Amino acid sequence: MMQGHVLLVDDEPALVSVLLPVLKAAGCEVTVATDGNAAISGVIAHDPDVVLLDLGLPDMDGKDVIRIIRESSQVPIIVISARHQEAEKIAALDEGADDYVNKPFEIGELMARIRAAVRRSQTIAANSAVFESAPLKVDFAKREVELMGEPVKLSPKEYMILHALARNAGQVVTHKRLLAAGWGNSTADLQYLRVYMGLLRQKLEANPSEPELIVTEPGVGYRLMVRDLA
Amino acid sequence: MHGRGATRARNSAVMDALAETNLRTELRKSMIRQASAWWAPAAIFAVTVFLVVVMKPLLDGEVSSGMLFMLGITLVGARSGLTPALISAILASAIFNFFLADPVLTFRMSSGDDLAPPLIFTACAIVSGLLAGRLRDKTYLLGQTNLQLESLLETSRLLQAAPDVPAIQAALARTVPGRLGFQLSLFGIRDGQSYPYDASGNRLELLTLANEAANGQAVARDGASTAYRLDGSQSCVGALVIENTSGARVDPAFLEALASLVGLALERSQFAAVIAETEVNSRTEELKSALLSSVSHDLRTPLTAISASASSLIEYGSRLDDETSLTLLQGIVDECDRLNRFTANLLELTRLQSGGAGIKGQVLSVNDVVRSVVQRLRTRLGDREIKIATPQSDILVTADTALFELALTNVIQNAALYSAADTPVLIQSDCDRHTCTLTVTDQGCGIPKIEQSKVFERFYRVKRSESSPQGSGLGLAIAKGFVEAFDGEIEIRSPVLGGRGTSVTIRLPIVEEATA
Repeated sequence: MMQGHVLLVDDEPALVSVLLPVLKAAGCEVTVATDGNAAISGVIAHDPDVVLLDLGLPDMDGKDVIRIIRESSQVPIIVISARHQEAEKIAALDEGADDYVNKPFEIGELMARIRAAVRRSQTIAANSAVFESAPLKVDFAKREVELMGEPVKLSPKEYMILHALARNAGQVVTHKRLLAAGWGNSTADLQYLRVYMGLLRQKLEANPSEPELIVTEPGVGYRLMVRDLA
Repeated sequence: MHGRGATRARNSAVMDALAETNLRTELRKSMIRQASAWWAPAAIFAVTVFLVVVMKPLLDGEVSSGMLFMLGITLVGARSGLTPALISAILASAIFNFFLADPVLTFRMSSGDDLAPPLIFTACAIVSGLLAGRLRDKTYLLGQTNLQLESLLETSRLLQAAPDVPAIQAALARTVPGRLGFQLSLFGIRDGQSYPYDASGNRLELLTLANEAANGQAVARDGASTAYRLDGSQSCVGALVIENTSGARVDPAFLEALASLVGLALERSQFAAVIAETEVNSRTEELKSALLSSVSHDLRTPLTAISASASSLIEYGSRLDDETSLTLLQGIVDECDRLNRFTANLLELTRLQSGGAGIKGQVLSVNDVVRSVVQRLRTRLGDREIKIATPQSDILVTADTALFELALTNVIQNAALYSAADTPVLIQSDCDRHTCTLTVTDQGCGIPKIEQSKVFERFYRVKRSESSPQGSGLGLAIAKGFVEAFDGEIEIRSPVLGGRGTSVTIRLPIVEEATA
């Protein structure tokens, strides 16, 4: 049973009427906002643990909502988007959203995203120096990586990429952010990233051609999978 | 656009009237000239001879008579041109020699002194006839050229205003050859073969001639018919066959110039058709992308609700209380219904879009349709009050059942969705001698004036500040499409009463009672 305060931002009554009772049944406290302005004031008024934001809001662009929220808060934001909003979704992630779910989604998927987001915000709050989720362990202070207790040697770039993924474990990290982490330049060639991701997978995955640790989010970025702490 | 077209049409009508008057005068003049070609110089010459004979006693010898003749010859030349002038000069010199010059009544010369006056007279007569005649011929030719240029200009103006093939044909009928009674047939070209644009060109010999001109030497003649190849800026665009059925004479150069003007006009009309087609295509593309994005939103939203509800029931079924479970189940049913309605709307829209294929009109009772639609909506609208006011006698209209029901459902659904739950929705039907009027009125917040004209556009949704149910933007578009397919009208009015409410009125022609 998870606890936490969810700010649900959606203008579709049909979706709200489903998510509201289910989130409550899952043990969350839920506040509903039906447009962007209500979402921004809701973040300030209620200080939620996570924001579920539908990109198709009637009054303002979802990206603007994220930007304004980010000016004052680091609350995890999960974007709810439809397939045809792909570009908007990536822009939202680059703007500072933490993760996304595509419509239509199943409740289990949404819950996993919410848990990952809440967990990350808690680890940041605890300023943890180590990421650990079997079989992987990353010591941020010593810049050391262990796989099943064995130390793994990574090049500086490989480490920076893994670092970015591990800091956002369980959440999608966009190409742009990974490029910025590894090359200090978010407009670098995506091909470099693919090559380094291949090298990382060679060192970390049991079967690099069928990655289970670092999964690809096609067109968006990569996600470091974590054991659910449900 | 419309206004400008009308002005242009009016201007062009005035110009046409003017041009027609000018042309008729010119043609009449030219015809008189033709008939009087030999009569006029003969008359002038006869008068001259008469004067010379009558005034011989009064005149002082050969010199004055000679002068008189010279005047006559100059006049003939000025009036009728070179040939009559020269003939007059030769005749005059013969008469002068025979009757006037010594020795009189003979052509013989008695001395060297007798030779000089007739010779000088003949030389003077021929030279003055030559000069006057040539001057007149030049002037006449210039006048002719001018006339042809003017008619070419007029033709060009007529053709320039012609946007399509029928207009080009109409313009051709008003050009000089057209008015002289020539038969002008226009041919297009497709895969190297000519084809007639109208029935007048649907004859084998004309088609053969048109083909010859289009594929061969630019001009082909056969008896009274002449075919001209019509060249556009890049390639041959067709052929023009001119049948001279009236026997009037028109300069071939003029006809060739006419053909090149027609060629350009025809090419322009073909380009215009291509552009129109491209526009239609791009509008279809626009519709398609709007349709896609609508499908994406309007299918995915209910699907998301259904998926989330069902997966919640599976995953948290034991933790949910009965009331929540029931809400989720009811939500699944509602969203399925919404999906079903959206699919039906899409289907009917596609039917309307495809030019009405498969839309069948049958005689329907308006009261029956209203009752059946309301009955079906009852379950969906719960205990919402729906008032129906229909006349006792039945009203019959011709319409497609499925479309009529869907259109009415959409209108009633809108009325119910966008007004408070405790206000009634009123449905009234009535008719006069020709038209059935069906009005659906609600007491909701209404629609802003500037948006009222747009609500019938596909995928248009009125922007509302408060959270409100979102439609697909198809409902009223379908209602309008349906009504127009059956020669009716649809109208929206807001506010209705006390600054609130919206009323949608559908008018359809009623089925006139068959006189038994």
